[in-house]
Amino acid sequence: MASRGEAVVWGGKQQKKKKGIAVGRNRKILGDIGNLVNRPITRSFSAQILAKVQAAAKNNKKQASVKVKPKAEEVIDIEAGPDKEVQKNKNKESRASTSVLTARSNAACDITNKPREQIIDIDASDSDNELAAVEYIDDICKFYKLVENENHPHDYIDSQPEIDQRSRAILVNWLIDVHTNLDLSLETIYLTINIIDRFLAVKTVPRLEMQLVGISAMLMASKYEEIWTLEVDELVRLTDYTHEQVLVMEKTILNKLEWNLTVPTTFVFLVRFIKASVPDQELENMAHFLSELGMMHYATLKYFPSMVAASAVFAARCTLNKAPLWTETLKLHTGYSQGQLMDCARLLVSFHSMAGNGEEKVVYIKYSDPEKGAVAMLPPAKNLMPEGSDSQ
Amino acid sequence: MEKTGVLSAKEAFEKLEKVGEGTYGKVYRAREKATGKIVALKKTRLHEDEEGVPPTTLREVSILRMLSRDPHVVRLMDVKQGQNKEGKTVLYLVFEYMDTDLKKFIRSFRQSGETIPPHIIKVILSICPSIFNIRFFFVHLFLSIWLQSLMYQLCKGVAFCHGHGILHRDLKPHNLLMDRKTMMLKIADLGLARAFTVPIKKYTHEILTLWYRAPEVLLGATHYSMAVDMWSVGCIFAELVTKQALFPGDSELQQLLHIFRLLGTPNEDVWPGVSKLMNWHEYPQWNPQSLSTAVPSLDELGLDLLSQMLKYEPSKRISAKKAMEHVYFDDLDKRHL
Repeated sequence: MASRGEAVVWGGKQQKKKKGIAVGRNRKILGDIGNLVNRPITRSFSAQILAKVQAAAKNNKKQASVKVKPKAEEVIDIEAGPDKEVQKNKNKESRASTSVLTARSNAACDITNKPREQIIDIDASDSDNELAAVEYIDDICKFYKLVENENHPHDYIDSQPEIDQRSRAILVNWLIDVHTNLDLSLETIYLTINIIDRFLAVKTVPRLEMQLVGISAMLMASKYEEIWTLEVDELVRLTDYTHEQVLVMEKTILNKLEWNLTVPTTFVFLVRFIKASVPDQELENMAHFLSELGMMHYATLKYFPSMVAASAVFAARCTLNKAPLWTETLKLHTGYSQGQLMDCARLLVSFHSMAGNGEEKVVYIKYSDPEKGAVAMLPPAKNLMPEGSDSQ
Repeated sequence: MEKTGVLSAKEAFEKLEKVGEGTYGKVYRAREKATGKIVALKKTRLHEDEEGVPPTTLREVSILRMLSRDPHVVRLMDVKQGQNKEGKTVLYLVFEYMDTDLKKFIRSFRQSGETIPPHIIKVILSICPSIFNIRFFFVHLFLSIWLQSLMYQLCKGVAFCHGHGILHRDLKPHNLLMDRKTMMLKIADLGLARAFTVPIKKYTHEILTLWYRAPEVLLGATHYSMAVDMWSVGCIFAELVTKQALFPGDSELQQLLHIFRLLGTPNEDVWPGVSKLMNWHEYPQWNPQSLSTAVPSLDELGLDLLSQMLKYEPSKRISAKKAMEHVYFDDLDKRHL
């Protein structure tokens, strides 16, 4: 009966979510923008800016002289995720794939003297691409690895009297749904869940405030990561809390976390390790799917973000039968051997095997979409399943 | 941070004088009552009646929390919440105190008149020492010695930010704090700073004070990188030498024209892709001038480094990390920097 009651409560909120989002999408474009000092660029404010930019663009086309070109404000939207970025670099990455084929061909020709596997320079094709930050990316990753334990939440669920693993899963499932519907960046959802877990590790939270913590964390994460900040009211509409309650919770969380939001999440490692895997689109989708399943489940929290990311890539390669399952290049960039990843990879695959069951399946639905390669529909990796034969 | 409940900012600090003001709020020189230590207090009102903590504050505090471990970034010591007279929440950022910034430092030297190259000073001094005003001589000798040191510290601080995944996006003399006694330089004001993930996404174009804004931003490139910070470093380098802003435009168009007049109007040969940028138009065609016309007293090695900081094509612009290895800094004693 308790479980049933729970479903009823969350069901009610789901209905509100849909209405709220529908209302949110009908934002009016207000009148004149004027000079607004120190006002954050919220989404509706950005709509005003866009209207102004479009009007300016029309004027630009009519201008004959360059010297009287009016000033146009430039605000560019963030793309939804890494997929498009990778597609833009697809041609460059095909050169990297060519070196893989060359290495394989050389190995095949030299059966009796097997050479040590070649380590691929995964940044070679990006040397002229300043957006890839090739000169700094290894320093950045080393730093992430160094500090990822500093802000990692400890096992907190037993010290929370009113919250259990299930209630966390329900919250995360809902937040991923909100995140998808609001078209926020992947960085934002990973940071949101990071904030929630770190807060729950240091503060007892009543069950009735769990969702308040969730939307306040998403507000903070969007302020940190997005160009166009979510408005408080966009989140308030989805819930039963007030504007004021969200702002008080925001300050409570910030003070408890000592304003530390610049932390490496699983996402920053995942992007790097996917690149080290010399991926195709299917592998990339599968790695993201497994990583988001990991985010859903409390059990993943015992592993550091870099371990989760590396395990997601490894489990994705197992699921798609990539050979070899773990390369010298991946070992170099992740800092993990295949053996070190087995426990976490098995955990992620167990989530995959039950992803379509139960009530929290937003991630499963998201990755069943053909746009995501429908990778959720693929069978879980047999070599990482408990009953499966160990083929290493 | 548990201190927040113990002492409010007003109780913990005695304000001594206001030292700065802007859209961000006010900055005070203050004394911590418990320790007697002098600090800088930056006061920001949280617009809690609207959208809560401003994104700029959220980013600045969080990024400073992470970066304050480096000596070339200003140290954030504490964050305190308080309330003003109307009961509104205010935030106090407690920073280590630095007695000046590079803008004031440059201005103090501008009053000394035109720069004379150090090697000429040496020749004149050896021939006719009595002709020279001693103060005038030492001012210029002092500055030329410290130019390398200040630039090296700036490159090192920027390399630290970039090596930790942070774009500053507002480097300018006013945001570079200095201690006059030790001649240490620190990067400050990270209100426009941003943590990036690779590959770098599209970010807002409302960055960089106009005079220090990179051409790719002015031309509306949809993506930009650490190279925008290095363009700013180049402008600061030139300004340190001449005491005047290198590209003092008063509009975005004028800013571009200032740049093109000196470096030549870019084309597809020197900057592949430039004509496809959003704000690209037909511009007057200028040929590139030698940088020595704009920065006449900088030596050849300095001019080479400066030219690499002011490359049009972002991927060809020197990085802060590589700049630290440039031969211009070879004879600098780096042990304490």
